[in-house]
Amino acid sequence: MFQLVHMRDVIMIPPHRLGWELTKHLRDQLAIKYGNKVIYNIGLVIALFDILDMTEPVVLPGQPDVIITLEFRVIVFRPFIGEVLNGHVFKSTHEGVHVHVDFFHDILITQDCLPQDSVWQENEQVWVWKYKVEDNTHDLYIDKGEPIRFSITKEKFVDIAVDKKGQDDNKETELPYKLYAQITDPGLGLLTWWN
Amino acid sequence: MEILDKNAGYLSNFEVLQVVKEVNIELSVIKNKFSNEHMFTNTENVEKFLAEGPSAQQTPEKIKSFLQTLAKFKLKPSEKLQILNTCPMKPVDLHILVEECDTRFSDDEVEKILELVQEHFCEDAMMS
Repeated sequence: MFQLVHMRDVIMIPPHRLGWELTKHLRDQLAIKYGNKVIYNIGLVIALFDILDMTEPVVLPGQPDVIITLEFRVIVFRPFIGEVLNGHVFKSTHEGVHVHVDFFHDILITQDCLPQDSVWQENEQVWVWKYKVEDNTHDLYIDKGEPIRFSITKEKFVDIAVDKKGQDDNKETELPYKLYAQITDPGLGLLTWWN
Repeated sequence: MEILDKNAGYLSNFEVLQVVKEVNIELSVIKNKFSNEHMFTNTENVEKFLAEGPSAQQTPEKIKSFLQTLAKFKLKPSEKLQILNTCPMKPVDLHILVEECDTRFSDDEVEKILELVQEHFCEDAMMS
C-alpha cells in the first residue's frame, strides 16, 4: 500500500528565515511542496520519510535566497495491482460503487466488477447483489458507509499539469490519480457478507 | 524535482503509522503557531485509517519474530506484507491475499499461517 520514493530537489531559503533551524525549515518546505500531492505515475505523497543528503548551501549573485539541493525519501500511497484494501462505501451511481479509505477518495468499483447478478435500483440509488442460495434469493444491499473490502485492478494517472487550452471548459475536471477495484472474488465485498 | 528511484522499497502499515504519528505531533505545534491548517492535513487521515487496523497493536519485536517463523512458507514478499498489514483471521481472508492459495498450500498449512497470525498479533482476541 505504501512505498518509498527517492527524490532530489532544490529548496530555497529566503533571508528572513536564515535564523531558523535549518533541517526544520527544509522539512517544512518539503511538506508544503509535496504533502498530499499526487506525482504523475508515482502516487499520492503522504509524508517525508527522511533526508539522505544535502549539498553545501549556495548563494547566487543577484539573488538573496540560499539554495540547497536535497536528496530525500517520501512515503507514497500507491497500492499495487491485486492488493486488497479495506475501506467504506462512499456513494453509489449507475456507473458503479465509489469507495474510499480515510485519506484517499477516488476508488471506483465499476458495475462489471460487482458480484454477478448485481442490480442497480434507480429509485433507491443503490446496488443490490441478488445472492442465490438454492431456491432462495437474498437481496444484499451495498449501502453507503458500509465497510467494504476490495482488490485493486487498475490505476489511472492523468497529467493535469499539461495545458489543456481550447478544450471544453465545462468538462468535469479530471482526477490526477484514480484507482479501480473489483469485489467479485469470494471474501471481497461488504465485510458483513463474510461474517 | 527529480525522481531517483520510484520504488525504493515497500513500507508496512506499522512503519507508516510511526512516521505519521510523529508528523501529526509536529503538525499540531505548527498549527498553533501559524494556523496554516491546510498544510499536510492528510497525515491525520492516514493515522486514523491505520490506527483502526491491526498495525496499531504491532511492535517491532513481534513483527520480527512473526516474519522469521513465516519464512518457512513459500510466500511472495508482497503476500507477506499484505498478511502483516491485514492480519487475516479466516481461511477465506487468506485466500484473497495469496495467489492460487489452494494449489500452493494445503489446508493444514493455511491453518498454520492463520495460527501464526493469531499467536503474534491477536492475543487479546484469543483471551476474550
